[in-house]
Amino acid sequence: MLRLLIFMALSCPALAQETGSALPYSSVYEQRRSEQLIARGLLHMEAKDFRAAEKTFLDAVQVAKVNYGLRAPQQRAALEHLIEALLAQQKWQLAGDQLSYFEWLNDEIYLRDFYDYLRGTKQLSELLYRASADADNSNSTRYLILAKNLSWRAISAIEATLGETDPELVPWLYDVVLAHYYQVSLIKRRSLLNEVTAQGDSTAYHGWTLAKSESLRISYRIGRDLLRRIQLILSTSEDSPTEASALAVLYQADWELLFGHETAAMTLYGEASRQLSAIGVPTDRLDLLFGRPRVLPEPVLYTSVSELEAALAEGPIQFRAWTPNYPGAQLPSAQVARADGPQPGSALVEFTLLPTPPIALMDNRRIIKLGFGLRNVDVLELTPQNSALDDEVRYQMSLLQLRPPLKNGMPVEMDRLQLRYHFAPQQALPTNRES
Amino acid sequence: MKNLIRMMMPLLILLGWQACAVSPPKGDSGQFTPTDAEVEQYNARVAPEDRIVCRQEKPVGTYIAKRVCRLQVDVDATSSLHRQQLRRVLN
Repeated sequence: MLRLLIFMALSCPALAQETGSALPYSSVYEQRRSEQLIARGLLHMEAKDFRAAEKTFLDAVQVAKVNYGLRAPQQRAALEHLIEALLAQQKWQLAGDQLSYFEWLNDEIYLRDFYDYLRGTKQLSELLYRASADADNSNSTRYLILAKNLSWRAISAIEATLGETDPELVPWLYDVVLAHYYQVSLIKRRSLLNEVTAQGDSTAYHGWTLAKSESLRISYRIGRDLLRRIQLILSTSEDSPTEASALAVLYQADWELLFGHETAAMTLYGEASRQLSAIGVPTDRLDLLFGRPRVLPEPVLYTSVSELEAALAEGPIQFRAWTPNYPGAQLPSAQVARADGPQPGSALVEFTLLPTPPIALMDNRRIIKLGFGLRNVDVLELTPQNSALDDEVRYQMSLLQLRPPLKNGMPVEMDRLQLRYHFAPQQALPTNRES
Repeated sequence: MKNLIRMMMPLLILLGWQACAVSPPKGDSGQFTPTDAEVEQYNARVAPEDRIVCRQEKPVGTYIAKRVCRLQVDVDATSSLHRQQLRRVLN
């Protein structure tokens, strides 16, 4: 009894100080306190008080450990926010430690609940992507590789548990494909490019020469093989092509186009269109579907035509640049978006897409190609208003690859297309020289 | 006789070409090297010392490159040994 009184006397002032109000719980380690701490931590995050948020989330993790056990999955919610708070403060070392702890915890869950392990893996993968997107993190590429390896391990786990042709593999295989695209986009970073101006046949060219890379070829091959495997998985259950397997062909075509293999891409686009027609998708619906170009690669692999249609919003094509670390890559998902920094602005661009080979920025074999048939790029709106941004948005547009509009499986010209380009957080925008 | 040789010439050329052609290994031959995707998947789940690397190598005596896969530690050890030997020769 005396011990209890001493404990209450010691703990109450500390609790009162923490809450600053009436105590809603009877013990520091009361189960529901973890949720309360998370809610309070989120308020700190909103107020940009990351240090206080870190401490609060750390307490929430401890409470979850005491209540549910050292290996309990219930820690993950608080742990995820704790890592976010650490990343927001650029405490890379501590964030790395907590990410390793998250991974250990998730591996412990694997033997107990396979699907919960997959959920945790997805959560961890998103955290790693967030860490890799920080332009101030010199170790950012390492996190991308860690995220990719995590997806591979999930693939191995699914193969071992559910089989090598289980459809559960599809989103994970596509995650690896996307990771390879982000890896490839690294070579478009300005730090790895040489700015050059050249003269050829009375035309001056200005552009950026690319570093040659073996990893580019490996990434292409891995992406191609995985997309073929996805198509195989989606078509194994049926003899005739299904919507899902026909759409998988579309993604194969996108991949070829992203790597500059226009002829292979056009053949595959035609094949996807033929397969969709063969399974009874009406031509007018197909024309509508393929009449709206998309920025590649699609962050999500759609397995039904209706899903793809739902993703095609009216109005300008929306492109949210993810991070300056991966030029030309769009935000993979809302969960990966940074909420702690200001949005640097956006631009509305109008352009024409032509079914012609891409033009290059340099009259040289080592070049950055402009997007497939992208012409007459016109900047209609800029936020903030800054004439120096005009050049920047044109440069960023040159890094995008759009799926060409198709009619009966063949690319057609499309005029006055509009795209809303949202600059990446942390994008260093040029300042107006006039001002 | 000359006519016979002339008539047989395309056949002889075809036979000669067939003799040079290499047929791919059949069945579950161990000669297949893993694909890039298989290598990456394997490397993602093993310790760094157990990782493998695959690359195109030109064996001594031929210009035809061959895809060879090795353990990363073996590649490192071989490079280190070669550097040591070279240093010994130069000193």
